[in-house]
Amino acid sequence: MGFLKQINILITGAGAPGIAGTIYALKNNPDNVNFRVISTDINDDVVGKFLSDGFYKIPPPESNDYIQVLEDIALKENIKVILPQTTREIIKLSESKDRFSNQGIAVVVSSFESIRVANDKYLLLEKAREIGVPYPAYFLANSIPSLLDAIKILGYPQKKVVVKPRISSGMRGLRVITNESWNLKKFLSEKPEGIEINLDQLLDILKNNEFELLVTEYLPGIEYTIDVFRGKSGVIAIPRIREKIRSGITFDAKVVLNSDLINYAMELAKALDLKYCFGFQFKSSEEGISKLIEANPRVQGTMVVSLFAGFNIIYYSILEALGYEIDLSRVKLKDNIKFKRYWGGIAIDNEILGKI
Amino acid sequence: MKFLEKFENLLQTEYIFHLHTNYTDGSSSIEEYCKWALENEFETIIFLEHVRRDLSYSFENFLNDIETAREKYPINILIGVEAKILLEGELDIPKEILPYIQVIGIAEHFFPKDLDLYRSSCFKVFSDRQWGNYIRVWVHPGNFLKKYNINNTEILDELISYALSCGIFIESNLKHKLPPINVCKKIPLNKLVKGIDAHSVNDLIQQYEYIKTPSLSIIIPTYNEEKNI
Repeated sequence: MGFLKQINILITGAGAPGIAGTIYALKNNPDNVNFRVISTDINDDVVGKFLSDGFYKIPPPESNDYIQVLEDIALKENIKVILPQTTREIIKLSESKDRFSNQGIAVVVSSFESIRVANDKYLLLEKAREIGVPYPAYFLANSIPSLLDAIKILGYPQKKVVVKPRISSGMRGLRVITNESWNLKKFLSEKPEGIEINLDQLLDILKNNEFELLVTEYLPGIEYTIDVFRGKSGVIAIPRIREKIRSGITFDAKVVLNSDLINYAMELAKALDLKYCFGFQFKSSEEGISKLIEANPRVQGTMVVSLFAGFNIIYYSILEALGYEIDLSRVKLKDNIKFKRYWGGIAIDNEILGKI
Repeated sequence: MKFLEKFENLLQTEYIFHLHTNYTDGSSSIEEYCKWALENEFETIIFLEHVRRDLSYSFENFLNDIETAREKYPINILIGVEAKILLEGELDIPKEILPYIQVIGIAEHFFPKDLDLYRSSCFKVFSDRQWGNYIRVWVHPGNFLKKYNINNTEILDELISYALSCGIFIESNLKHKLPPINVCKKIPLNKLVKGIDAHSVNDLIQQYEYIKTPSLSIIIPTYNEEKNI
């Protein structure tokens, strides 16, 4: 990309946990392309503001003027590409791709239909079933009796059962129903997992309310995320183990080029027709079978790891969206790369005093 | 779970699945089936003989006959049994034969007309981990619903979805035309086993074209036709 000197990019979700990694991946690209980063967020005081060359507070994506505001910023800043980072924004932006395209602005987002299915946890599992990718046993419950029926089939109370909203992002609404009680040993040795709930508590929350929950088999094993790039010239899938997770964010990761997971990701990507950068999460069952639990049809929080594994998924997704042909024939991925997060921070007093 | 992958690969070859012999209600012998399969260049033959907890025939003799056939015919022979789902989700299968079999065909014969019991029994059998080390195939799925004329494809679809999530393969049974086409179409081809449910070599001769077709993709259209064994 010798002829490409600078790309003006607008990154949404400057407060998203992955913002530092996303910007790092762009700034550390193999072609020495300079990125001028403008970021946005619905909150003003977010960390990405201080990592970008410019920042705008914007209305939430559900607001009627969200797209207009974003378009105004993009035109003012001479933006060539928009990289959305949050689940709430991608569906809106996918609907407005043509509008931005007409202004010469690419949006790194798949089609509306692809995102609609990928974001709907029920439709996603239906898709997995259709194409033969392993998935946990699942039921859709919209009443207390149907919920009780589902958890009974899934082995409760002998086994834990997972409930989550059909559509949600991160760990919002995710709960593990368990009847395991706390004893002194557990109380003293374990951190409380905020996602556990007992059945009575859950029923108390749900009673007299309308709800639609996906009820699934509990998967106790290893959790994997697969970072995926899909462009005109092919697919690259890089699985990694989520060795340590805190509040839904990967803290310790290890790349494992497991061929099953790579194949599943490729099949899912094709079936869902997802494009650019996105990811899938799998978790192992008691029997050791990795089963699909989530799709993230957008840049993932720890996707920067792919850069170290041999393919900078975020950077190449930007190039793909801008219409460049990406040569995948020489990609050599590295196995067993480890990634460790640590607590960092920025000290501010009108200006940045220091970064840790 | 390599044995499941291996079975998936086997499904892409030329195989004959779901054979009953003269040990039960079939009229052809193990040898006759194997001879025919070899002559017609099949790679694998999978017996699925009826069993119940109190066996009415000598399983030892059945195994001996298979061993003899293996020595005589260079063909891959898998030993499978067809066991019915019992009330409360047990399988009607004698424990002593388990070390000798590779495939369990899960069937819904003689189930009382109780939809809730049927549903819960199926769920229990499918998730029962004691059968997890076998290749499990749900044979003629929906037989119960068909028998009692219960037109509820939603339940069948739900049960198939659950079975698949438990690693169970689904038979598209030519004889019983089950599961119904609209349900069958939703099953991924790598999990679909074309079953003949043959009781004689003559059944195989009649369905030669169907079983000889290597591609799984023709299962559904073929099965849609009014072909009877």
